[in-house]
Amino acid sequence: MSVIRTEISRPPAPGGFRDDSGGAGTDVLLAGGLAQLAVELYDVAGIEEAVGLVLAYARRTTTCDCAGVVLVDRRKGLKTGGATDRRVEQADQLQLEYGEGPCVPVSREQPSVLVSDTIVDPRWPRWSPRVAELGLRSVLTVRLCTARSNLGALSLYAIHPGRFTAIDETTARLLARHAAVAIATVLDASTLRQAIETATLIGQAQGVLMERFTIDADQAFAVLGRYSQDNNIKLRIVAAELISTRRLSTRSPVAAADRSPAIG
Amino acid sequence: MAEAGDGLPEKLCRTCAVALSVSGVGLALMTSAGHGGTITATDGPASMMEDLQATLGEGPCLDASNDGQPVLQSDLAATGPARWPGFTAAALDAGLAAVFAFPLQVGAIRLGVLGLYRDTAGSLDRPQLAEALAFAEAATTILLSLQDKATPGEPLHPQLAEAVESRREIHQATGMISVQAGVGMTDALLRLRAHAFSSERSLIEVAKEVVDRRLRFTPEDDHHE
Repeated sequence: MSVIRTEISRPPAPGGFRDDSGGAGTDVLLAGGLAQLAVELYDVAGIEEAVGLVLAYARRTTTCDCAGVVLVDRRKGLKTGGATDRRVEQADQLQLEYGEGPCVPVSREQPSVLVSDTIVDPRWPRWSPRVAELGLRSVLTVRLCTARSNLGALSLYAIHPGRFTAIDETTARLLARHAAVAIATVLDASTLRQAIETATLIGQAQGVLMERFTIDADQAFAVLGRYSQDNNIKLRIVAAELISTRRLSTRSPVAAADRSPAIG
Repeated sequence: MAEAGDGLPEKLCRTCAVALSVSGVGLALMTSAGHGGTITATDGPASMMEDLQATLGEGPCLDASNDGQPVLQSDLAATGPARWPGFTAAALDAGLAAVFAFPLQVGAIRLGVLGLYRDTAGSLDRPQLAEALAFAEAATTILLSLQDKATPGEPLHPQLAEAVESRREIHQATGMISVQAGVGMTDALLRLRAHAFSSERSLIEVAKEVVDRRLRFTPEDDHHE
């Protein structure tokens, strides 16, 4: 395994260098890399770690200089999922802000989008020039999806124009397919896990309020819910804070309870 | 507690019980904090064993989840008392002789445990062990696919939510006791458990009494921190 790793780690040499000659060799290295990725993905503790592994493999198995993942958020549309580099983080963030960029069509219908040069590409008039300013000229974005769900997109970036070829596109799509299955699994597992933990925290926080202010469970939940809304803090965080500090910081829960009834 | 419906988790437990000739099979959610609620259990002793472990905070299923590996107790009477005194006594009383618990996890994320309860002592042979592991893997897949089908905006699939919700009063009672007795959540839960065990009732029953303000806990000077 470590041999494969050494072989596929590319020299950091910039300068537009790329080797298109090694078709079969690339496949073998890619297959080895994907097999190892699958093994390592099976051992992650959460979504950030899974995305981090996918990005590290993208760096090793393609000619990109940096890479990032944008994830579909069940509530808020797209969100950044991780990046190897500050510039990618900014480039991905800009797509979300402007609502344009290769991730946007990819997340909806296309399996992949190739940008040869961000300076001349006309498709995203606001996004492309900003990304070019960041020093990123080539972009290859592939969709992350499983049979059931659309998870987001993996974007590979390079500092030189015209860096990505059809081989990279194939590699990236293969990588994305493996990555999507793993990310979907970890996402479901961590959502489930977090929902159980959240239920525990909220229940305990309700209990603290119920005892302290002689209110019932629904009223206690309303207090937590309102505090969460008024201060724009997630309910889970409010509950955790109440449990660890025994108080809600900015406002008296009694006052809040008095002006009850429920807001769900 | 989840009623015996006819979803995939129920089918899995029933099939597993028949295939491995055990007296009962239970499927429960687990977190690092312990039992997260029973999703389903076959008729017979399994449901009571799940409740018992939730009440006591000890047992093979909790160990399997914490250690991330199967706990195979082929002769509970011989090896159980030292490891889980409370659980073993009650399990033997219920006529059980062997327990096999298989953790359900994705990477380092623990989700639950598949517990197999049998009224005769003796190890699982290799094909049985392989089959039990396959059932555990299937159970993990079922949990994940249920969760994958959760309505967008809802944190949990209804069947999983039901298991989690079944423990709501336990969490609320824990919070109340922590104020009443002036202790942290861990100690509050311990006191709730101790009370349930000594009064021979389930954790949820006692928790409901606390929530209904029919039972109070007081600070105890002699109670260790």
